[in-house]
Amino acid sequence: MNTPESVTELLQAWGHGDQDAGRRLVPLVYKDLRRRAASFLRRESPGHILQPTALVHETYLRMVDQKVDWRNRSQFFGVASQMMRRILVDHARGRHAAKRHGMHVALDEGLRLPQRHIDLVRLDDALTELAALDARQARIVELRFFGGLTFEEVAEMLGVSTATVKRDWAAARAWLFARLEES
Amino acid sequence: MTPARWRRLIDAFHASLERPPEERDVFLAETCGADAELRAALDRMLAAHEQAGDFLDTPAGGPPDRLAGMGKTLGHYELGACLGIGGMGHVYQAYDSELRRTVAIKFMTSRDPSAQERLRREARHASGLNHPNICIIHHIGDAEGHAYIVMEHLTGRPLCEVIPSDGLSLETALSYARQVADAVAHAHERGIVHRDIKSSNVMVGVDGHVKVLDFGISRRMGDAFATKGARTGTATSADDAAVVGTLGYMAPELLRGQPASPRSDVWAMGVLLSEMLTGHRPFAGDTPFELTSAILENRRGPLPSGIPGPLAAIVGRCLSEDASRRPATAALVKDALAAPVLDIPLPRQGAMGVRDRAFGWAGAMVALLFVAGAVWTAREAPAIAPGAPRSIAVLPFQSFGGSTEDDYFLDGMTESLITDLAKRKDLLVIGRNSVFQYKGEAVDVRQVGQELGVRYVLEGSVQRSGDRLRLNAQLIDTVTGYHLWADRYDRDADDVFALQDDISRKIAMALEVALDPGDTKPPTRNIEAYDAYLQGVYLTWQDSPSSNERAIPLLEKAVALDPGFALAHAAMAANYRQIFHNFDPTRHWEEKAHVALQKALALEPDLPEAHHTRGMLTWTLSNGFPHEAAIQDIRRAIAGKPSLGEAHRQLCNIYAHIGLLDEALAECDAARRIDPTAVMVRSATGMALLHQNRYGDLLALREKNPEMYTPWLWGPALMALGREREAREMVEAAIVKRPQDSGLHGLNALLLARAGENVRAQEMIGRSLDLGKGLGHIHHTQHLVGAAYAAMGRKADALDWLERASAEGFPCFPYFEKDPFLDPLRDDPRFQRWLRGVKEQWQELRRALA
Repeated sequence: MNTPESVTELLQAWGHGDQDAGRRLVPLVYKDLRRRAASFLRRESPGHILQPTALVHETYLRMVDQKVDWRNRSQFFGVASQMMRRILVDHARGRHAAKRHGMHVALDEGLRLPQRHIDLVRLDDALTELAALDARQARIVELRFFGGLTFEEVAEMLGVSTATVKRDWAAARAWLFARLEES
Repeated sequence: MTPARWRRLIDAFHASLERPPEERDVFLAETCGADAELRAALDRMLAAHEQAGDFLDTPAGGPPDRLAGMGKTLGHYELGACLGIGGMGHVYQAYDSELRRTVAIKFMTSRDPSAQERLRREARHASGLNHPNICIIHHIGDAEGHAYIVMEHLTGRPLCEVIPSDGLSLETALSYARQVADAVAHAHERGIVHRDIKSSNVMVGVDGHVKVLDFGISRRMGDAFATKGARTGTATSADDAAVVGTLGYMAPELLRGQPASPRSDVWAMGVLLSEMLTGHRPFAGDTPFELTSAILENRRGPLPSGIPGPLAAIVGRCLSEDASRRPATAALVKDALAAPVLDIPLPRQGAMGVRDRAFGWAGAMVALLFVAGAVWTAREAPAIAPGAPRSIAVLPFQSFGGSTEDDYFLDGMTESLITDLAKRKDLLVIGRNSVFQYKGEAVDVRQVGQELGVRYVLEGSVQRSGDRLRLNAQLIDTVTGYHLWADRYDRDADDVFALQDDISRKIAMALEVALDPGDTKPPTRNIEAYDAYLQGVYLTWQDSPSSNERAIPLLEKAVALDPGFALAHAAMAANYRQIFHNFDPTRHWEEKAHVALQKALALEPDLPEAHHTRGMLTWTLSNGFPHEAAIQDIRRAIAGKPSLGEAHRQLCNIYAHIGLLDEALAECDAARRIDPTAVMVRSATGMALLHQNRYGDLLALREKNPEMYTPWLWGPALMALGREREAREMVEAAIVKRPQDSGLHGLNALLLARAGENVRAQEMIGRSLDLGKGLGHIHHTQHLVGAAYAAMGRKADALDWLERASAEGFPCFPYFEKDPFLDPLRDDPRFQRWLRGVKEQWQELRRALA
């Protein structure tokens, strides 16, 4: 019962409709991603800069037998993108808190955030709102922005055309931008 | 917002984007009507769409490295797990599916084209380094605008993780330091500065073998970060994190913005040495600014008291603030570290008595003076140590796609490379007979090393598509398993000779054997002719009547396309000779071979292949076995092409016939070194042993090589040692297997005669001579027949055949002088006269060939 299940096996079971396997997969992926992201965030490795999307890809390479088919891969990236979003947003929340208390934020230097300043905490809130309105659009944003996937990969993952993904993306991006401007 | 309203909003958003701007207002008014809320939401989204710019376009954390990950492939590299990630670049494990090895690939993160170009240049420069303590750069590539470097994949841990908080033991620290110094000295001697020596750039294998990584690269990879942080001494952004790890090793002059030099590497070595001894770097600071100040003011922590004085002195010299006071290059550090006095640890001070302390200090001072006098003097770069002769096996090149279509071409390239390499002095090159047994097999180079008795193995793969030629080659040390050199070429097929030349030069350089200054003239400039030649030669090697015949038009085509193609003429001659010798002894083949040889030698009087073929072609019964001329020809072939294992064997064979038996064995040794697995060579050795009447050695040879099927060697040995029954069983079984073998019947005749079965012996004599009619080497049968008659007491008949044997190519004086089967004849005056004649001929040949 307690035999550790491999991520590959869970992915495959999930792919065959075992919803519980999907649920059990989440903590495994999260734990690994979290642990590795944390070491960057704590700057345990000097000179190393966190690139969340790269981290997701590497987690995949580390945890999943590369023989799994593309559907399983999509599922993994779906999960991992979600996890990455949580990790980054949690970190950003911590930073907000620290700033409020006037603490020196050494962590900043370890985390290379997007080129254009985006408040991840607010983006996260807006994305949650969007998901209530349009789950697919929110998912596309998650996969693109936190998972670093291309339009083609996202389309493959969601089983829709690339054109649909691009249309959804344009709408979601405009909506989120407007939402962040408002608040 | 209800789902229905959301749908309306999104649909209207897309619909209005599809319209030209001037029509949008009308469209929006129509669509929204009185729904002001929808209109406001739409306006906000459309405005946001215009303003959003690149909002969210770049994924969190910057663009993902599209090359990295997801089991993608990059050319023939299959990317695997990430080994490291950082501001400098990402390192992935990868599998090179062509060369079937695991490698590490480093991708550069910077997209600045000029930085990438510098990186490539430096990496190319550093890729020439070949040292057991330097991580090898296999290849520098470029994909989708990313420079990447393919490196040796190392197992082990970075030194920074290996050093405990109180430092390594003196012994371990010295061992690592000496290896690092060796590596850096090697680079300095070749004008390469590492620029970023630090404990995370040194890998320690489980066996304590140390490899230094990233020669001349890492600073370049992090160029933008490194120089900025270094110059200002401040770290304000995440980018500067890249500097922090490196900053602690930076020489003061680098911090002042001066360029890197061997002396700045020496400084970093001092820091590293200190770090290994104490567990922490000598310069410390909580911020980059403080750290920089500590370095510039040379405020460093003390070394523990147990460190031998001379070693502390080395650290001190390396960390001289004034660069000119440091050892000028790593070679001097290396020499200093080599002093055995360093290996003696001083007792910790607390444990020392006054006397001991005084003694200890005195000892340290003496040692220091010794080191100072002996080592810190400038000297010439050390000459390359004259080592044992280096040996290399060139494994048959494999085809990229595994197609056999270009087999002839691959084999031809392999053979050319063998020839080319064999011209290098001090390099033993294994011949094609032995290497081609590995053709098409996935081999373990260490096993090849053991089987062929070679230290180095070259393997590679080739792909030819249209006019392009792609080639990967790598040189591996079979003892350590390290790659000494590897490269990848993508050239015009016309460049094949330049390519071969380049590879052979690179190998010569990697193995530090003398470069052949001379002739690198391609055999032809007509690539079509060369192609036909290779196909022809390939068929000739197959050595069957049909392949020999199919080779003829191809070789004719080669010389028709390029009449000046001497090598093709020689190949033609070799092909005709094989047909003549092996399948069809009609003399027109011999004639054709001679004509082709004349053409080849007229074009190139020294052509080794032509001399080799001529030596073999002329040394026949119909030519009266011109021993001396044949030997001169073959010697000349070997002089020009030492890798001709076949020529060595042939020379051994001729020497064995004429009684130059020590010379024969020496040639066999040479042939065996070149072709360690060739059975034919061992047969030739066996013949030389037989002719020295060394029966015990012969049977030892048989024991060691059970696959040798040479009853004509074992039979006489067994008989001479009194094991007649064994000999008889063997010979009888052999005759069943080869009923047409003249020599076996001769041997049987001797066995029967010695057993007194004269009638059957006589019958066998008749049969053996019948079977031997027309055979070039019937002289061996003649000798056996002579011996059989001797056993039967028929001296005159015996001498008739012995005289014919010696006259027809077998004047083997030392053999006949001691051959026990000729003993019944020894008091016969005619025998004595004959033996004297053979002796004179032998002496004369010896003189002529000395």
